[in-house]
Amino acid sequence: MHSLRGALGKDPRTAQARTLPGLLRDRAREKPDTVSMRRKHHGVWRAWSRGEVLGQVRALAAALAALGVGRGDVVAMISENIVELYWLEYAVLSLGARVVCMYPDVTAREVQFILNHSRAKILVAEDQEQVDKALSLDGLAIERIVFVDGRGLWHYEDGRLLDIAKLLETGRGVDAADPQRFEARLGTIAPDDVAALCYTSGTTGDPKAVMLTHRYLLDNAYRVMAGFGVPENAVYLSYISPAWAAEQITGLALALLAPMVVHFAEKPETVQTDLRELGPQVLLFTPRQWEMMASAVQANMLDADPVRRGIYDWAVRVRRRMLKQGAGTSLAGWLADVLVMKAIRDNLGLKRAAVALSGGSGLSAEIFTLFHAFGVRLRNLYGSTELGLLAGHTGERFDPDTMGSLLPTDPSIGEPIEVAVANSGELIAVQGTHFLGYFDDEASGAKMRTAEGGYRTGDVVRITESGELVFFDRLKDMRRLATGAPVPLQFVENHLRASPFIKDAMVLADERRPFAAALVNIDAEIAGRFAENRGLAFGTFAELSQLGAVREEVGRAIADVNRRLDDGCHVRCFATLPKELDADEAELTRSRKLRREKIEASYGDIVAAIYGNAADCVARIPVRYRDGTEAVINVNVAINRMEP
Amino acid sequence: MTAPVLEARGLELSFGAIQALRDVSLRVDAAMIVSVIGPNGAGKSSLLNCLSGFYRPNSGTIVFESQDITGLPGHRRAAAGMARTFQGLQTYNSMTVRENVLSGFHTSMRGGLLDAFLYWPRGAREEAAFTEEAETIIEFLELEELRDTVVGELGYGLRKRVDLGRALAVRPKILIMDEPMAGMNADEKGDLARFILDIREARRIPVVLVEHDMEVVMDISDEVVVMDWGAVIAKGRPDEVRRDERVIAAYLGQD
Repeated sequence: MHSLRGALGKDPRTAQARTLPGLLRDRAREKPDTVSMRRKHHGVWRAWSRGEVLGQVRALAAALAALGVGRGDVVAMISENIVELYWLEYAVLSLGARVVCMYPDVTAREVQFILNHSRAKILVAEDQEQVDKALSLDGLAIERIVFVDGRGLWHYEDGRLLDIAKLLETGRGVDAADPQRFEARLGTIAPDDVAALCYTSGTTGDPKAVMLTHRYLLDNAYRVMAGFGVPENAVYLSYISPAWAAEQITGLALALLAPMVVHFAEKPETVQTDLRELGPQVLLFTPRQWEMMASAVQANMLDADPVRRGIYDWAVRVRRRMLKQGAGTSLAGWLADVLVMKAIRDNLGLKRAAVALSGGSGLSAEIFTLFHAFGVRLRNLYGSTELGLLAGHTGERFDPDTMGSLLPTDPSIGEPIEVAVANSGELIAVQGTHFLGYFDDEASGAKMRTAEGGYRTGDVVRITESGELVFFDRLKDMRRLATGAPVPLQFVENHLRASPFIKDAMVLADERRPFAAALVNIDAEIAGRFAENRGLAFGTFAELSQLGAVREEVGRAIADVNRRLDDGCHVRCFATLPKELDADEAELTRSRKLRREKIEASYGDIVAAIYGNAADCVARIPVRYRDGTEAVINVNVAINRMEP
Repeated sequence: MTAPVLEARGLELSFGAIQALRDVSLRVDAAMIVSVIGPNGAGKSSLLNCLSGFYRPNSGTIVFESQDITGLPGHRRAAAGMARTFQGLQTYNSMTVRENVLSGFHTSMRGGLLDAFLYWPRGAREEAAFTEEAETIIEFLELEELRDTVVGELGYGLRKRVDLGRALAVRPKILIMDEPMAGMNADEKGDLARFILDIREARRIPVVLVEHDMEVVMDISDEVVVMDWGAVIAKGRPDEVRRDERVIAAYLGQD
């Protein structure tokens, strides 16, 4: 299948041509006393109702307007996720102005680039650390630096410094004196106004600023809400940085659309505790953050006593098997849940997680299924800063290998998402994105456009029969065969490595080769045990690697991966290496990454036999022994052809 | 000039034939960090003990907040707003960080045992107010993520910080610290130095500090008092003291 069309959502909570601050006002009117934000301070949660949040936003808006912030101006912010930051963003947006959020660990040099590039007028710097970054820079056009935490700033004399408490105080007066102004200003902003500039970290050169409009933010929020079923007043913990478009979509836009109750941790160090105490219903983490959570559990289990570790291992095994078979809960599965998984979910703060999302590609299937074994309904979410959220595991389906199907769009905003796969394998967003281009860089935006008016994602994907997207690799990292067919090298190798029989695998695929082939380093321990159980004799690793039964198992793993690939890029042939890849012989880096040229050179005979259509070959393999002497060993290696 | 917060004049103290303090005078003004340095046996601890009421000087006067407190016993000085931290740790290791800080409020609590036991409204109200104040101290010392951790599980640097939290709970008008940095690594020293500076800046509490780490002393003090053989041999701003010949000979020169 080479193109897909999504659907319009059925959730009635649509944006109705509103802007973020317009929606904020409407939500406050609907239920002024319902809690909208909570912040932990002094060990207790302090709440602000929707009406109170609107009050804070109005005051800040009035004060910022008095400082000269108006339509199209830029207010930059460097801060952790704190409640004041969110009030400020809504206030800035209500003036028709734009925000730029930076990660708290941004360097002074990056701050300089972003402030100059965005032509920011005002900087919000959370505390002394962030203020110092700005003050270390000369020649900034910043007129004011608003800080939230004044600690350590007692003797700072820079005239630009301004306490947010002052801003709130003066703003309240200004707003009270002329309450119509706020409404009047809201009337002048439109859904297509730019709300945020989101800097994406280019791997080369300076970062580029994607312009996110109100429409973009609200339509993407709708996709999350309707796609995954976010309930009204869902508990959400603001954790990922608003410098990432994903938090602009969830923490700021979805928070108003659903709406959600947004919680702020006491400080970054207490997030784990606060998370556990809160048990949020909606979570969006990066794959890296999910991996860290999983490895924290695994590390804890390594420290546990053997009995507890045994119970944990048993429970994970039972639950994994249950998932694989797709059957209902067995008695053992239920027991595993009650005895082990409940406690793990509680410990991780995931016991109420109705919508748990991994945003971005690259969460390994292993970790993904581990969370499902824990009983967490983890879902992949795929998109980019430029083009927004495109796909996700909606409904009950969650194939860990896919990024899910196209998300439903807001019927009051636009057309459904439509994507197509180009001949190169690249995913093209044909419609349903709200990409306006990069700020002050028309050329880069134009480069993403296709002749038909779609946008290139830069990602190579495949569309499955069930209409789901499988992410392979970035286009620039893809290899191409002589036939022109693209081969997702990383994808294939990662999946091969997931087979217990395969320790390492190198896929041969480039423009000299007519088809893809694999050199496989078998896992000696697993394969050895397997051979012993079947009474197969072997003396050395070389002999083990060439056992017919072992090669059959490897062949099965390759056939498994082939099923996930388009025909043109199937792995047609493989050989099991008669010697383990060795970092001492420069075949691997110390972190076990493949050194491709070196491996191809060492096993040149095998490669030649693969592409020479031979059935086997005698490989002359140079080895270096521990004492430094070198020798060449001759081994007979079978060349295995896959059935088409 | 406004009245000093604490002033000692002509303190003399002897133990038998040993003269521990000879005509020692010291003045601490509001929001000032005064450090007392000197070789071992110079009389620094004797001076602190006189200031906080553990020793009574043979002669001389000590005035705190315009009141002569020379004859006042230690616990009365504490109630009057004089807080002291000691060498080593004075924490309850089986209690949590928050409980430790709360325990510092005992001098301010009015309710009796019965109030506390029966949890009558007065006791409950009082506890709520103290908990809020303890939380302010916990926030100030950046201990939020550890508030429910048992102190015995913490490292030395953090326990010392809890110790400081207990001292702040008596709502002190002056803080006397005896070698707070001893046994700390460079990071812990840096943290504590920052907290001492913040105590001065944010809470306007003057600090008297006895400390061996010269780098810290020269870095954070407004005034340095140098003692040798029970007498003050120099006092002044850190840069003045550093250049003083007698100081170099008696102390700094040996480093």
